[in-house]
Amino acid sequence: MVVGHLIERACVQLISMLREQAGLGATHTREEFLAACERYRAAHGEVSSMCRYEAPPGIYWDDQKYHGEAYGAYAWAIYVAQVAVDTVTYSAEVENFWAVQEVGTVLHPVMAAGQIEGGIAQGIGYALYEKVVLADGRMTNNQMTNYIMPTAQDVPPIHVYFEEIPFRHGGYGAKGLGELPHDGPAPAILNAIRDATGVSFTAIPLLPEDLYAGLVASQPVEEPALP
Amino acid sequence: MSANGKVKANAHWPAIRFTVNGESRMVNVPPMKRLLDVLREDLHLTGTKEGCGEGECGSCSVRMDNELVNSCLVPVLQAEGAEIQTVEGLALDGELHPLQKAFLKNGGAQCGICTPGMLMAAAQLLAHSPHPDEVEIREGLAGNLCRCTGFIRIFESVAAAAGTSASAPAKEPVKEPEMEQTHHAR
Repeated sequence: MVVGHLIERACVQLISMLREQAGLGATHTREEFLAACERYRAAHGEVSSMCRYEAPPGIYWDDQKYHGEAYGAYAWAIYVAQVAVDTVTYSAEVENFWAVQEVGTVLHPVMAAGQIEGGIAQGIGYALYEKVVLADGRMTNNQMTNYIMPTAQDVPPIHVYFEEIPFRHGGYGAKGLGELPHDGPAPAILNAIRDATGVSFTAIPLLPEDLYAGLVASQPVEEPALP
Repeated sequence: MSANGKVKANAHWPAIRFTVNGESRMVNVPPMKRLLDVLREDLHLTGTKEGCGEGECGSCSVRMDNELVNSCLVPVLQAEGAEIQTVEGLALDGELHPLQKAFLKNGGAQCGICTPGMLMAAAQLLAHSPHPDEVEIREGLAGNLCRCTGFIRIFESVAAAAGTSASAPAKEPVKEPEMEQTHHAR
């Protein structure tokens, strides 16, 4: 909302400046645009346009009392994970994944879906693989060989659907979309594991040893056989 | 160093000769210098990227005598007489390779650091299996890590270049008899 709209405004401002002061036509080709930039540069110097963020009307925020809408452009999403839990190895595998995203207007369908898929892949790593081990303030597993992230073999089919509701304060109706797919997948995956095992896990990453500990702890203790 | 303290132009290193993208090249560099650094620093072929530098991520993949290698793990002396292909060697006469076109069209690249290595791994895959299915594509790219795309669009790009389909059916829940071992949730 903030950056996209700022860039849109700065571009529109720059175009109208070139139209008014450098003879750029109402429609133009790339070459005509470059020629207008050259004319402007010769007459006035650097071709630049500057915009500052202004809170859009209708979004109220009181910075003294922390009242109102801090951010008007939250995106929304639904995540559904199909997960298999192997009760011999205690590993969990995401087999299929669905995402429905509301991100305002989708400007570039291929890259937008790619952002969502990439975020979900990271979210799967966050949920099941990627454990940062710290000692004395340093990461001790800072290599790809001991910090495990999803590979081409680990990522399930990911199905992305968009619900497009143009957001009037965003650049061309768009909202930000890259951040949200990191947040939802881990809860979806852990909920699926709860559905499969009956055990609710509340910490990530959920490594096989964590699954083992949780599943064993949930088993009723057997009475030791009498001698 | 010569007597006046200036470094001579590496003349004391033995010449190592190999072919890069079809051109004969000769370098005078320390023989244990990584092929990755020779390509980037001495031959100015900066398309090949360094990721982890320890042979885990595949970012620096190049083809050497028709094998895919991590150029960060190859001392340049091992390249003596070899034929090397880097990402710069994929395009022909200024026209992008079908894999490059497919990556461009299908969103196979985002930040771009893994892309040259992915392209070389994909080229290696297609050289051995011109029409790979999804399982082969996943296996062929298993040594190349990507953080941005989630791999899905890379699979689709490779399949598009090969004229196959990357959309394998999702794994179906395991049928009843095996349910003792595997619990499923949807």
